[in-house]
Amino acid sequence: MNKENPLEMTQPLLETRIFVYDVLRRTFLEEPTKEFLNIITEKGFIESFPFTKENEDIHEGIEHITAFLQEHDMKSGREYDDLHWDYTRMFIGPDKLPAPLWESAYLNKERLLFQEQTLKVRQAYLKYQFLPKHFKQEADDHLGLELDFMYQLSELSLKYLQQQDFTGLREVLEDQKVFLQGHLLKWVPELTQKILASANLALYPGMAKILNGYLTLDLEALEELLDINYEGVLN
Amino acid sequence: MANLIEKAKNYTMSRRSFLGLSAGAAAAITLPGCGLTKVDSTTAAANLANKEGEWIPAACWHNCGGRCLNKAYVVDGVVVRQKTDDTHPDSPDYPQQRGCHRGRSQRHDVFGADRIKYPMKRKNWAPGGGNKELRGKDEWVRISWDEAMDLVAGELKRIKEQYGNKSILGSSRLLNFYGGGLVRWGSSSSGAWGVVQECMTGFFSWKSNDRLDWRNAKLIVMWGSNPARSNLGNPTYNLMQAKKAGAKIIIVDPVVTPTVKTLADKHIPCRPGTDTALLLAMAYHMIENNLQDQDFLDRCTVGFDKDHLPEGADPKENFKDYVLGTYDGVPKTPEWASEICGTDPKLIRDFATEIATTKPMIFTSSFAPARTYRGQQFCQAFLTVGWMTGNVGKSGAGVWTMNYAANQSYGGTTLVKAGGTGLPPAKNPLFPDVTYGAYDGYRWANPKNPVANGMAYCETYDAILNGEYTGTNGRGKVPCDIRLIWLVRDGYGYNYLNQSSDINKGIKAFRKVDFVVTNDIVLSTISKYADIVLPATTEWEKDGTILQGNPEAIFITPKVVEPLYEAKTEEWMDRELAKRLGLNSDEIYPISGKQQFFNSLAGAQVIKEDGVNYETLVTITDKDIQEWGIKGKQQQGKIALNDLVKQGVYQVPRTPDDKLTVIQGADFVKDPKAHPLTTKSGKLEIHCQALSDKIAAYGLTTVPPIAKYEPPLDGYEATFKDWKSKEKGQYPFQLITIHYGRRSHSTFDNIPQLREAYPEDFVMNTRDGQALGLKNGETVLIESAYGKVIRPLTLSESMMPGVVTLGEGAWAEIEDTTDIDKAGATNTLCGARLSGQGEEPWNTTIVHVEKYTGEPLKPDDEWKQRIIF
Repeated sequence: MNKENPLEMTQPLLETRIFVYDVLRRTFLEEPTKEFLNIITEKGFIESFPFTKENEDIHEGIEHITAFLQEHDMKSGREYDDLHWDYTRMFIGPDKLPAPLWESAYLNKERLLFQEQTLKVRQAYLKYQFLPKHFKQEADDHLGLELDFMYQLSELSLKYLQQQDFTGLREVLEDQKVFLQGHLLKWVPELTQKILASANLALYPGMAKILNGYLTLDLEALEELLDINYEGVLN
Repeated sequence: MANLIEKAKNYTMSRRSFLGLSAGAAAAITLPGCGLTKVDSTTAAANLANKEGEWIPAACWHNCGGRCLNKAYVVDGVVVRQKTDDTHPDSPDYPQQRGCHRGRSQRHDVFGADRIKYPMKRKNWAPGGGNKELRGKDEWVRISWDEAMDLVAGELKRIKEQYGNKSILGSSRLLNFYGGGLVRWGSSSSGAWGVVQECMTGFFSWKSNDRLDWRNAKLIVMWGSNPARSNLGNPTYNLMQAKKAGAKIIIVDPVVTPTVKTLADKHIPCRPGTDTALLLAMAYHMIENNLQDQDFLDRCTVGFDKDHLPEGADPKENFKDYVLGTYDGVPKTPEWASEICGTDPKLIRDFATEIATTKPMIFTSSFAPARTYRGQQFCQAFLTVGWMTGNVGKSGAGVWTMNYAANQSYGGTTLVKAGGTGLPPAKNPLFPDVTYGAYDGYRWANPKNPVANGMAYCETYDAILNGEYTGTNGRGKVPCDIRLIWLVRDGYGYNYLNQSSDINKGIKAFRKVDFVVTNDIVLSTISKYADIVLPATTEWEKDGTILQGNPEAIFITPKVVEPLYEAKTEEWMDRELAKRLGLNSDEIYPISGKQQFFNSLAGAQVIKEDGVNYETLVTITDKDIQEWGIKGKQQQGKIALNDLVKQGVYQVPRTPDDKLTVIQGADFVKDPKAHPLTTKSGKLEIHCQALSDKIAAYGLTTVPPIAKYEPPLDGYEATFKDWKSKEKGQYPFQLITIHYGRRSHSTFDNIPQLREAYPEDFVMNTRDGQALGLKNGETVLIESAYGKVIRPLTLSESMMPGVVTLGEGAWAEIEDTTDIDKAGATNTLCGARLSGQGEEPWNTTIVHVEKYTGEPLKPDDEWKQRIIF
């Protein structure tokens, strides 16, 4: 049995999860803002991005983004506009969307918005008292919201760990695992393919690869985290 | 196991330093609040509760010609599924109003991933126009409602102040309060029928006997009508009841349509645009054999022969002498007609004998044969030949045209009707004949009104490009300088760039003006070429309305779900704009949408059992008024307000022995003097000077006062280089543009399951195709003098040789480099030609067909996203 302090042992992973979900939710929740671009162009972002060695998709995604940032100067208004258009065209409209960001557009047979998946996702959010800001007007199962949910629960898990509330911790981790398996992992692979096929620029394909890779990896992470006998190591 | 717990530690130092770097900027990078928000535990618990869904009547509001009941099963704001009418058992007398595949796809329209969710601006547009050439291929930018409203109000104000209201093309409630705009007028759906009905019959033949009386007919002739495809809902079923009761059904059509296959005992083929020739030959045969009902003609009509002409008419200008060729030397024999219309002379004679000798007979036409160049001639000939049989004002008999949903098999009196909304009309000062509610001058019937600032549908693009249009009532060319195209209406699309003739010219015109603003549900063709597109609510997201059309039922459709994303109603947009334009929005909208819905319910009337008088339909209590939060007073009716809204439909039950049967014109036929029609002579006018004068007043084409055949522009004759030797010309095929199952006009063209079910194939006769070396399923290029489309080919013996067809309403996808429309919008092929009362002459269009040598088309349902760079 591992005799390490569970807090010290798992805190790095829990913090890493918060970090990655934070980056991912910002990527997909809204159009690329200057602030978002500041994050990814910050010195150290690329170099320190986690799990590039452990996951090929993350590795490739980071390479896409590295190449993108070398070729495109995001301080140039025109280059920024091009990236902005990539997001608008793929994820906002007004034309048909090549890569819509809603779960029900993939998992529902009819590929519509506001479907059974939307309700199920809403139920998951409500357990933790979350709802979309424009409830009933925006669909709950937008990728950005689902990632925000994972981010919020990741923060909560760290809080529980720090409070040594292991029952709470385990429940949150379990819920994250269920959400990941029941939702994100079911549709993000197809979404990733669509982004790869339809993007003009390499940034979103890069982020999509990181997303796809990280979700797979996070399932393993959750399994590891759930495998620990927190109470046991304390005693 | 990867041991991520351990590996995460490797990233800790650098990640921490990264987070540390960003920490200072943390405030700046907080999310702007579009993520999840924390709600209190009570809200969460309330929403978590396992809620039962409920069935809510859901509007099916399109102008398909039908009206049916749609219901949505709504769980917590999510429409899980749809159903249709199950409010009472189905029977032929009292049929359920069941929806079609399109109505049942309504959910796909409302909740499609391609709904427009936010105000969008074309990137290279700026006040004044920016780069106008990029319309239709520019990038888009999401903008806020505030920015959108500022830009729209700014352009509207600038253009009004700089160029005047006459430089604005469009009509809406807001615009009408802001000085109005130019109006497009003309006739689309009903073709040339409107003015003909008004002048020749006083709208007498716009109405019909009710459907239960149709079962008394021995013969029903359906001219150019295909309800099994074009009028979904009950029409085919209702006609089937007449057939079961013993009526023989004859259908005249260039195509062996699904209706022919379902209902017809006999099919009479006739080339498009040549129906007049066929009808004249039938008249010839009847006159030759003295089969006409002379007594009826003498008593109830004017103009059949020289002895029964209206006062002041040229004695030579009578129908009988024209048919016999007394003065022009051309007897309109079946042989004469056959060369033109393609119908065998013997078939023409037999058909004429049959309609003249079978009584009672119903002689009914659709609008399609009148959607031709100078289509009045068909309407004149159809009514005249019908009247020659004397089948008017009797049970099981009648001569009429199918008037939308009403006569498409229901007919009779309107048995139940909605009340008014109470919203006062808003007149367009530049075109007072058109008030709010009609966004353009559809079937505008007042060409002698000098206050008519606007142009025929088919002249719109020339007016924009050349700066002048034809003024009605002899005003000659009127100069214009159109700067703004305004199409902000209540979420109904009105996609005229796609649905009016000559899309290529339309795009040129759109690329000339300063500003195009639309609101829309999805990016239809007209919005694709706009500068600002505003997200509109569908009927499911509004306060509610009553839908009418079927004379036996009304459909009550309350709000189903909240407006999606940032979609707004027209009222909301108008109020925002009014603020910026210095208008009083409460004057524009003195009552709310909910109050309007309530008023139309409170004012609803239903016929009494006597079949004459009406009574109040809805019972309203003080409690209802409080619950609804509107103004009103209590009243006693036949059904409680909330029960009606929950039920979604009120249909008057019918039985064969009820008192609701209508024999259209029985009084008139018995005693025409005592019951005159509203025509000039008080009779049915075979010779109608008023028609001739009125058509002349539009200033486009002329018609003689009696039915005569004149080869139409782009008709059968025009397919030949040399008529005598029958050498074919550059465009040897005649195209008809049918209503297509995938859509209601252009609505629903984006719905994947409908695209899969209806492939938008181009259909031609098998032998014609083989002669050109064409194979079933291959991609063909169809070209007219106005444009080019490519489509998959279907070869079928159901088509008359020389006739080809394509469904109207596909959303044009014109490639800029080749000018080829991949989607096959028929208006890419149909030219904008000026005719009669401004009817669009779609069914007189000629084309060339060849194998397409480029990359073959994929089936429409497999189309990838159009990539715009």
